[in-house]
Amino acid sequence: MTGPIGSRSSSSSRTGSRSTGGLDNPAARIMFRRVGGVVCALLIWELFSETGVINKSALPTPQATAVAFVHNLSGLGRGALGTLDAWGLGLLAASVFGVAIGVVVGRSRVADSLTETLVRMMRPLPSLALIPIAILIAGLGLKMTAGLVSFAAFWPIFINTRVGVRQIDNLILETGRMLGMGRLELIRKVVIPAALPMIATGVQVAISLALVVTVSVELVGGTGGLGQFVLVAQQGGATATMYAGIILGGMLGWALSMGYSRIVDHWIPWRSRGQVTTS
Amino acid sequence: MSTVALGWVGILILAAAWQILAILLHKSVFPTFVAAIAAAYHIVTGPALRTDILPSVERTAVGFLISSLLGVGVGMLVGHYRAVQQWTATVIDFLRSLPTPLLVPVAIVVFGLNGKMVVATIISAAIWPVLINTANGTAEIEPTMMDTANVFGLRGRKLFLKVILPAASPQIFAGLRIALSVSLAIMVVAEILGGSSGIGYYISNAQQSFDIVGSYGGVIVLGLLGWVFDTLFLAFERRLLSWQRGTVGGFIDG
Amino acid sequence: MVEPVLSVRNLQVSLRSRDGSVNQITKDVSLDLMPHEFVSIVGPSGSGKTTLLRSAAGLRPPSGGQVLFEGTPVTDVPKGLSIVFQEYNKSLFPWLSVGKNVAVGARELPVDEKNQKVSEALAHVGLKGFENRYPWELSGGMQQRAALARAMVSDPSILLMDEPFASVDALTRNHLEDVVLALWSESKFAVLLVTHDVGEAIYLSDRVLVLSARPSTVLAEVKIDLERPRNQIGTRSQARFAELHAEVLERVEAAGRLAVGIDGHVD
Repeated sequence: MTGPIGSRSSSSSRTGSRSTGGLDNPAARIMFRRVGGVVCALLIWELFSETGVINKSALPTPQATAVAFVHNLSGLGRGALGTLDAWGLGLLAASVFGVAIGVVVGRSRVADSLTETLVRMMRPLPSLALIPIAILIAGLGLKMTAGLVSFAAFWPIFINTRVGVRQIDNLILETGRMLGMGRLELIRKVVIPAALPMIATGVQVAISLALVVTVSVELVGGTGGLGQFVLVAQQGGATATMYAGIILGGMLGWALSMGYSRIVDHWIPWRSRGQVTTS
Repeated sequence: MSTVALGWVGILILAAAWQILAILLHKSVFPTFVAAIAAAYHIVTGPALRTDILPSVERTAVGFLISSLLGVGVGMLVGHYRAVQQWTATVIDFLRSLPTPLLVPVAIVVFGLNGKMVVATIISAAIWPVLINTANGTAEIEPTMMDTANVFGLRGRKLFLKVILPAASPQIFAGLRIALSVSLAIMVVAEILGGSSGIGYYISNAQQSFDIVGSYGGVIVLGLLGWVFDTLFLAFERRLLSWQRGTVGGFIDG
Repeated sequence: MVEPVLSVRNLQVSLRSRDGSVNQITKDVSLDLMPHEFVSIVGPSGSGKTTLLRSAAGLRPPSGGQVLFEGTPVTDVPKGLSIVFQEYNKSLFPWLSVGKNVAVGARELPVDEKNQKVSEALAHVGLKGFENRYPWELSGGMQQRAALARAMVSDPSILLMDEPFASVDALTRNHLEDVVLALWSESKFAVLLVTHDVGEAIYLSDRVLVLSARPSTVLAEVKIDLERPRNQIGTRSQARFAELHAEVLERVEAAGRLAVGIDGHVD
């Protein structure tokens, strides 16, 4: 989880110290390079678009995209809100069910074995293939989108919770018993916090997965949101507007994972420091 | 009862629940388990095998392979050279946060409705897990190992191929495995959105022409496909990483 | 007559290993712990000291015999019994600050009283001012003191300790021994300490029990007639301390040799 890239990675402190260590590498220089990288990318984009290496109708200039962005602010805003709506609803449901079922399954040997093969079969199945079926069953709408999103996002959360709960060191459970905790109190005060670092990783995966599923459903079903915005722009030949939608999608994804890792670093500081699992 | 046997009991329970629920509900949009399995069998044995399944397999494989090569190559550079990492960090962070299906319309504009479009979309999504894991694996190589390589005069291409690549391979493989399932998922969306053939196209076409059992069958075939890909990949990984066994990750109790 | 606060009678514990074979850890162990008594258990490694302690605490059901806590049979960890484990780094909750970790031990009290108790307990172990730190921000010795504070905050009548100082350096260890001794002499609880350090057992205890190798029984009981209060340098340099040390050590080594004689190897 840690490494050179990874504003989403949990231990930003470690990543930070890696790149800021030493006087030959002051923070200003890193900042310069990071911003410089973006400028370079924009220049390359400009170059590709102006020279016509890629058909200009397929790749508008950055300026044209920026203009389209400003012109369509309200449409983009509505799209982003629509996407966030389905995304949030689906993710919320997935988190609640994923954690609850994961804890129960992880604590029970029988339930754990019963679900082992199922998990191994479900993991490689792309939930996106279920879009047509979800449309059949639930029709087009927020309910269908959120339902499918929660189905897809459920698995990483469930799998991580299950593993996290299973890996908890016996000693920490015995400490809970020693302190006189009953079954429910043990789960609430020991099992869940001890598994929280793993759960957080599952949620992190689920956050980007849920966004992918949300825009996919919107693209396929035309159920509003950024996906539909991009689709409509493409069908209307408004390429620059389409790119504006894509850029906003990227910013949305980036903001969500950035925000999440900030929250995790702040609220789960023991994720990278205190080891409570035996693995 | 053994864990494996219990695992299959779990699957059986689920299948039985599906069957009973489908019979009780008696809804046209919810066929029975047996009917769905029969439809899947029909797809694998019918003409769809050649017109839809094989093209999908090919696109997934090609997209995955290109993503792997690009991801490992660029990932090693990003992980090894701090300057490269700093110059590319923001752009990579942005691109990998982008929900890739949004790029399908772009790919359609550039390539048209065909297999190339599907492959391009797959690459735009599957490259990131490989790149990120390779970069992290490269950056986390023991300094002692890099020093040793230096002492023995391994530089340039040799350093990357003989030291960094094998040392980072456990992390690289973890990334490749994720990339494989991403490839499969994005293949489906791209084909649903703009395919003229392929399993994704088959599923969405069946749904639109009210062949409901057919689209369930397609999903089952796709699930099997994912399982086959994953199993093959794990077998391949085990072979390639056999050197690693015994040095890390062993069980102390055997 | 005074009743023992903890009474272990003919305790027998067997563990089933992964391959299905049954491994007898303790064969027949009996001991009584009187109120405010300090008893240590020593024995060759692998003699099941830790297993014995876990069963006495109600964490592991025995396969035979009985454990009585204040006269009632133990089935789960009884109220009034606290444990300090060797692995303080795994026993403190990393998601709670030191203060909150200690507060978990007193969570049934009303808030005011609880806060009072927590700061008292922390002051006792010399951790005043560290309430808001997280366990992983502290040194090993400080973590173990925090675990000790948590165990003490509920005013237990027994404190069980499983090699509590085995993972810290020698100086910290001496200091922690004195912290425990001070706590014990100021309060009324009894201590059952498992250790592999004979000197530590003698320095702290009223009695030392020597366990045989596996499957274990109590081989010997040595009364420690060193006067209290004790201190590291004065007590350890007495001639009587050296005599007792030799006596206990001889018995522990005999237990080890006995195991060699029976099985052909020490495990």
